[in-house]
Amino acid sequence: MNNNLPDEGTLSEDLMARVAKGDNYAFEALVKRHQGAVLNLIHRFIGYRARAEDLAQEVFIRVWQAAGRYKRTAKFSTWIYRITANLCLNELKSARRRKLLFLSSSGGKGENREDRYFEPGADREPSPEDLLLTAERNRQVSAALRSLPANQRLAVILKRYDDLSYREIAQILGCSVSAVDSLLVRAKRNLRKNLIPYEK
Amino acid sequence: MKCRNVQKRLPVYQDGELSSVEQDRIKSHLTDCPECSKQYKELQRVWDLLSDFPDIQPMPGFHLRLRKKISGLREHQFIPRLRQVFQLLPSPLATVTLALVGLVTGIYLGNVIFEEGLVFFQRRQPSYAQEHVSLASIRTFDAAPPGSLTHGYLRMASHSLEAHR
Repeated sequence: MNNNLPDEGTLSEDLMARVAKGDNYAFEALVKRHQGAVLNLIHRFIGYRARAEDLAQEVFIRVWQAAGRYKRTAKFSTWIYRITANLCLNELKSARRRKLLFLSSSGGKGENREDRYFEPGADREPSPEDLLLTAERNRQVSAALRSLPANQRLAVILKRYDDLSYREIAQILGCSVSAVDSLLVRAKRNLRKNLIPYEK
Repeated sequence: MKCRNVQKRLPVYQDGELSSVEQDRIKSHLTDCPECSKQYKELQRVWDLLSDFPDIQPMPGFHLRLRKKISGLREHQFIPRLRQVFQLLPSPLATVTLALVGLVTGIYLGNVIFEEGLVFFQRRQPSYAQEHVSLASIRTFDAAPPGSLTHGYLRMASHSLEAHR
């Protein structure tokens, strides 16, 4: 077992090989390196901080569990984004199933009820960061993002905040590059519709 | 290049994902066309607005909680392994179908083999006459069956009696 602190420059794929051999330091290094990207992708997708933290931990648990089966066929970052994206989509599906949670909501016209659950600042104990997030401008942006269909939302987040190429986004979402092209064209059209009136 | 076509491709142009020829064409069109240029600026404004969703950092204790969850899993690794084994199985419907096919094939083959007497160790039902003969030849129910302790004792007794005489 190689339980030495890994260098900063060690590739994530190499760290993963060490995790497979039970190296805890390599796992810590992987978590530190990717936690920001994973957490923010989830947070931007579901808009609910406490749940985003839980799901980010779930991503790393899956990474740890899959270490023995991991094959270096794709970049590690693409692989972990794919796990994260799948978890986000599953979360949305299970939120739809948890209808009881939304019985108290009025279910306004044209609103996605599951998105109410994901309202930023829905935490009962808001931190200063949460308060910042509930500021008007952030709320508008968050609402505009949430109004997008799940795949468009993921594509926009991966492009805008993680600056991934269409090819990488296609690998993460499990679709073709041309599908990502049309997802982003539609997403940008929708965002313009929702954000430009607010801007004026 | 027509404005309609340019405007359609503006979101992809913005991401720099068009071929270099197309990128150049649209770029030069935008310098000449105020309407398309306006649309492009609007698109960029929307993209800039998205930066108002700032990054967050993990809450303190994120690592500690993760470590606890993982050490909890290490203690109960049997269940995930069991789950992995079940994941190897095909879908429930396919599993049930396979099991049924196996059962029916087994019953059919069993019948064929036993009816044809293909099994060498199969016991055939003896006829009534055979049963009678074999029962008659068995001396198990004699008072002193040959080879038993009683039989030995009686033989010894009869020998000693004859010798005595």
